[in-house]
Amino acid sequence: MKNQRIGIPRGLLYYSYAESWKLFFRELGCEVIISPETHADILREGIRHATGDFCLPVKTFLGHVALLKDSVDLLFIPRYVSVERESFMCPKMIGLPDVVRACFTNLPGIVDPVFHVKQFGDKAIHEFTKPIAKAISLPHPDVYTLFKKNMNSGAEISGEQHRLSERLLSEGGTILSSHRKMNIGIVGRPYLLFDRHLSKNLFNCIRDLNANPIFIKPAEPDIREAMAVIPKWVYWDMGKEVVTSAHQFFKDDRIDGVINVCSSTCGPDSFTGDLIRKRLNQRNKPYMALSIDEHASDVGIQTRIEAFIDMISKVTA
Amino acid sequence: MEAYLGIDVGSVTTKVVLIDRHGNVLWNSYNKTMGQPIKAIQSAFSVLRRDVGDIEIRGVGTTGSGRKLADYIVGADQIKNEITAHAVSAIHLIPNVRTIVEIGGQDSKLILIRNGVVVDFSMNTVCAAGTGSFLEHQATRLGMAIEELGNYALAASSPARIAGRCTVFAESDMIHKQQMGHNLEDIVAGLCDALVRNYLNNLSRGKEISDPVIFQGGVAANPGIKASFERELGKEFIVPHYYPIMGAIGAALLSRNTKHTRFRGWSLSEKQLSTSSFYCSDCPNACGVMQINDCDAVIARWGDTCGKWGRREG
Repeated sequence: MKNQRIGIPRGLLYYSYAESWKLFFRELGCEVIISPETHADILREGIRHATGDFCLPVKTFLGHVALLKDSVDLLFIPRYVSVERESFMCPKMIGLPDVVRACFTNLPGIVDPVFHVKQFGDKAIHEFTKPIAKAISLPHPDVYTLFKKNMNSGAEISGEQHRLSERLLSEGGTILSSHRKMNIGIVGRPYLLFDRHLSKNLFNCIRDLNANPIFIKPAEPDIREAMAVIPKWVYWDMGKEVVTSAHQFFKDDRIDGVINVCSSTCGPDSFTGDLIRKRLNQRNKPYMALSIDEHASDVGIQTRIEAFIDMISKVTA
Repeated sequence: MEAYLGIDVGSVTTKVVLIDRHGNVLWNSYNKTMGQPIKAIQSAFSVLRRDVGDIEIRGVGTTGSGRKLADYIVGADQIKNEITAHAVSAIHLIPNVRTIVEIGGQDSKLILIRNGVVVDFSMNTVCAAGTGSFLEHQATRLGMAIEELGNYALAASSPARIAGRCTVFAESDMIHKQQMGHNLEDIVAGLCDALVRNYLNNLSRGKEISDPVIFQGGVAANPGIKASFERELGKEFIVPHYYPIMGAIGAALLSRNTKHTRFRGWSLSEKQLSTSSFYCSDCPNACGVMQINDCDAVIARWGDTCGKWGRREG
């Protein structure tokens, strides 16, 4: 059964793996349909369907499901439990397909393969691709080989995210600017930072204040180095990256301050936020946690960013 | 006479001050915004002109959640967030200040100062528990003026224990305590204690509150809240003379380095200005766009995310 319409909601892990997912399904001969960038209606729909007090990104995800569900044959909502040993995704992410089923009636079919690295990567890929092969009626070995090829091509570092970072950070996000007077390191989960509706145009807001927002995606060696010096091993899959980029900003004297963008009810972020705060305090590097939920007003965010930049500039009368 | 103008348009009150070159307050006003910030500014201006007569405005600073709106109307040289404005005025008036506790109509802030510069701050996020609006609402419900609330609290002998995690529940809890028969004084004191605990939980986690502590913003008028803070932290809370207008003073102080002011003069404050709004339907964001109208002409628009209608908003 070829040419099935596979819907991928533009939320959560989309911002980390979209590129390899898209490539993979297209090569399998499916039509891939992605929901549009988040806008106010999507968020409203998501909040309306949420049956529990989920964090903002999960509510947003539900909004994307609502928008897609009637125009696709299958929804791809993988259950990422763990992408490396000794690490875990947050419970909401692990239970995502169940959350979606609980919040909607009349859903199309859901493909919810489990990605769980227990020991070695290949076994996880084997398990992950089995339900996909079944759902689109293709031989499992072919599907397995194709997914593995995509993974090894490094596509899991989402091209989408790179494109977004480039679009958001005109200098590609890693080049420290000399023509702006201040560099602000931004840390946070990709699905919050790069969803422009959720992050309230934060990058532009910082640029308008004549400062330069910097985002970096840490590489493996950086993560290992950071985990070695941080007093506590971070076992949250994405939390590791957040803590690592904060650690890199901590080391870099050209970074004048760090803003940590987090969802206000995010459990892992409340742990990592504290680790980051303590780390940056060791060097008296200005730090601000910007917690976001559906009630966060643009004005409130703007006020905090302005005050943070004034604080770094040591504004006096 | 030369002077600098500071305007703080808050959610609940609008403050206007006039200062001289050295930061001395020459004139000030404090009025309810009543959801009509333009009118609030205009009426303050007409009283100011009557009281002060002929003055030359050399600089204008605006602050508060309505700071951009105020700029559109009067033409400002400094449009500053209220955290910076409050810090600037506190440091100006009390140079050795180390902590600022500011509680206004709907916002509360904690600002840490070391050696005359801001080193850290926090601001309440989505919960406005314990801010002025709530206290006022409770005073009304208990049949007293907001000005009396603090004195009731001071007269308490055994403050009731009231849940302060959320004001909605705090209110239910207060009603429950009333039904149980606690007297008014104990309930009001319990409320002050609960709100102070809420403030500390929300804003001061991981932050060191050290002396001298300056308590400003409208709620600093309430001796009950002040006493609860002092009991809870074992520190003196200093309430400066100009506590309700510190934001406006800060904005005015910041405007002192203006070379050529953008002040539009008083004429605009006498015009019949009105605001209106519409929802843009060009994309699914459906932004609410605000506009100020002078008769039929639109003089300013804002609120759109993309910048199509007004200046680009962050």
